[in-house]
Amino acid sequence: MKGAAAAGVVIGADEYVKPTLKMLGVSRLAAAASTPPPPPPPPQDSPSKGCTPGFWGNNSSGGEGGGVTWWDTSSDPEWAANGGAGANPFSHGTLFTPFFTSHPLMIGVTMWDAVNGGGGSQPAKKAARSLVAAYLNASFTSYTYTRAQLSSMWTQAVLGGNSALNALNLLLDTTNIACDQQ
Amino acid sequence: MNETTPSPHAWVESSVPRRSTAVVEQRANDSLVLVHIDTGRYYALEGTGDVIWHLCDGQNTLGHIIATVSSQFGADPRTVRADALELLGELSREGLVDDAS
Repeated sequence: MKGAAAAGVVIGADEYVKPTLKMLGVSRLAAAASTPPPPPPPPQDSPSKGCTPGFWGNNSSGGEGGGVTWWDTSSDPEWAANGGAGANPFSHGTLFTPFFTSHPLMIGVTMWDAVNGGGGSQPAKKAARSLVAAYLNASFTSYTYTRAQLSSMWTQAVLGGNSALNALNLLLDTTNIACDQQ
Repeated sequence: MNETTPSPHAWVESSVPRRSTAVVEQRANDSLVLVHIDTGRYYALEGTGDVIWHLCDGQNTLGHIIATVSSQFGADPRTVRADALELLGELSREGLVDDAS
């Protein structure tokens, strides 16, 4: 087959694979900045899988998310009891730094503070919030990114500055939402 | 790709595809994830799409992109051309690329 050109697939130094573009979804975060019609509310009988910061921390209505108590202690029994793989990677009181690469705004900040931070206009805190949720997701079950990838993505974003941190936040926010809706 | 907007762009060999500056990208496993910051839409670019995407730098003509991809992968230029036109059609409809020519 080498050297023969089949439709869409030809073997060369690397295999040629037909390029495709798939739309994955719409980020609520980014979409809020534009002016589309409001999305319909989710069906009431469609429970959230729980992948967002609001699941692992305090939710937007001020209550606790469903996963808050699954990682409040080291090797939390609720983690495994709810189907989590292994043990929770950190607990509420674990310091963000040095678990993740240091950033000046994250020194002395716990994972609990980070996932509940919101961050206002500070890109590092916004990205850290999404990162902690993403890391818990990756530890709990299958997720788009591995834990090693997430740690590396954070490091690269810190090195890249605020624009990179904003991009990371947007990416992980959308990924968490997509995970939540699966 | 169900959600599209009208006014499809007619891509020709002399077109110069250019990635939108409103797009951020991140590699995830075998795909390249693209997020359009303004619309909030996010996409997975698969197959050889990431090679074509990165050649859409506002400098390379479509003809050059086709030749480069064909050469790099030892692929039939006619196949690459058809695939590239289809991909660029989708990318431009989604506001991810425009024509800098």
